[in-house]
Amino acid sequence: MAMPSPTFPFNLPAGTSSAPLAIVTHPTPTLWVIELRHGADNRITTHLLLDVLTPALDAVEQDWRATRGPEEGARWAPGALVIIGALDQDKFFSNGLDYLAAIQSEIFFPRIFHPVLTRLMSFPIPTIAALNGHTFAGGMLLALSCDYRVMTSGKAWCSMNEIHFGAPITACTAEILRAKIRSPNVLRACILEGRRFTPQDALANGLVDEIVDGKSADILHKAGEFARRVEGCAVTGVWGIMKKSIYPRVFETATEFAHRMTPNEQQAIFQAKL
Amino acid sequence: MASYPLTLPAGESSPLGILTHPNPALWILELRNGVDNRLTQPLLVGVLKPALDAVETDWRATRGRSSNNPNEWAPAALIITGKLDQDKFFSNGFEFANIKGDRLWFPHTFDPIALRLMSFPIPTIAAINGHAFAAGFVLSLLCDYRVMTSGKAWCSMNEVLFGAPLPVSFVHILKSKLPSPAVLRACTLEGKRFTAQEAHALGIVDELADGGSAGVLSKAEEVAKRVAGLAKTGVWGIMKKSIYPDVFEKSAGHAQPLYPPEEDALFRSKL
Repeated sequence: MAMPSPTFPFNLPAGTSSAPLAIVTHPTPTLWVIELRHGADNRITTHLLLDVLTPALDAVEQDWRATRGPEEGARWAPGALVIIGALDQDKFFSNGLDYLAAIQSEIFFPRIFHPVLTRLMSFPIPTIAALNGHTFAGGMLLALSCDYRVMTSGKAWCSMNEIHFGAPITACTAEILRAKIRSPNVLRACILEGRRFTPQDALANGLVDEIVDGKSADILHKAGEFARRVEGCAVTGVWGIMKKSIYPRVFETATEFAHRMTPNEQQAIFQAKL
Repeated sequence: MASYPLTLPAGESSPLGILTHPNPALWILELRNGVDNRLTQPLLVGVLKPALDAVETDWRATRGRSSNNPNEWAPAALIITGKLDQDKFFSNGFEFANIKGDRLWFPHTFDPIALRLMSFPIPTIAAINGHAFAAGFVLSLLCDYRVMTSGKAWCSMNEVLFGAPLPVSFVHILKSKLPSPAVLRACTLEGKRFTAQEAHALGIVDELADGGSAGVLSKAEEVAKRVAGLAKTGVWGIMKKSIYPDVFEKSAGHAQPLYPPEEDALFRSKL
């Protein structure tokens, strides 16, 4: 049964009129933008994942898929998706998960967080994360799940700071990191050392593709230019399928148990053997 | 707590290894097996394994001792170095006689210790104070960081030159730590000898140090001091298992069924 075509711009969660958690726009025929607006620092909660990001991605994908011509062997239109933090500020892209809440649920990682990350990792049109501020932990995973990253040149860091608060990363998120960070030394600095990368460091180490001067609006503008360069890759319809082939382990580990082991468990096992 | 310095194997009058604990956040294991530190059965099983046990036991006992956070462990790091009274060798790898014809060498002897070191719960630093060949080079790659002498010393995987195929564990260790396919090719397929300077330029080695073994150890201690705090939250080793999964999943240890005489010999050796 065909869904009604989304009309842009629209707010999410559906039906929100004031203070939406996201605004989805379609500023040009080949560009969609998801602006995340969840509180001061865009925490990635269950609510944001299920009621905002998932329907937003559904709407974009549905709208793009509808561009395919009717004839046999028809192509799709060019297309690209930009995901950005709140446009009326310049401090945060996203500070990541509400970690304490996340670990209280056995299903959060395998059933709520990983599905959105793997959806992005295999999204059928190029995705560009426009990092208009600090990008930490789960926020960095969201950014790395996109195909490209454009970051402010200003005062903002990206980091996987889980090592500093003792969160063992999941197998699936480890595979996203391994897929997008191929240098062992950068991987070590990022995950094991929890290094804070400035935009310039991030660019030098291949974590982001471009850095942009100015405010969020300028970063969005640059992300749109970037999108125009890559949007044509969508037309043959294999973009997402290719990604599933080149990043297979991400998809294979998506439903695994959340953590390989916690520090408490490892300590207990070791001491039991003494 | 173990009593330091700990000479290993236990009870031997000429130790093959000495484990020291010069300050609360640092352990140093000096491997001392003959001229070129071959990784023999006594060294692996009688020195490296008990040394890792001692360090891990003592470090795990530090949990909750810090007044800052009762859930945290103490900062800590482990340096592994070759013989300190010489500057020629870190380790020349296995004794060929040990591994020739012993099909259980990797799954039962080397791999378990290698995998333990690769996932060790505190930062490890290889102080490469001389040549590092084959399994000796792999030993250094099992560590998280590598400091090497700036003097005349090479790293290489020379198996291709003497016609030995690479064990599965080696493959995944190399792929996890070497920076690129081109370096992997040069290293494994061409048996390239990397000078210390080349290894440093390629990022295989993190720091070079002048001044022979003493200088290398001193530089390793600087690195140790910088990274020891990363052990505090107790996830260092767990993270490594996640970011180097192939090493742990694909090493052949679990895949080798024993023949009855082997099982018999294994049982007797443990008596």
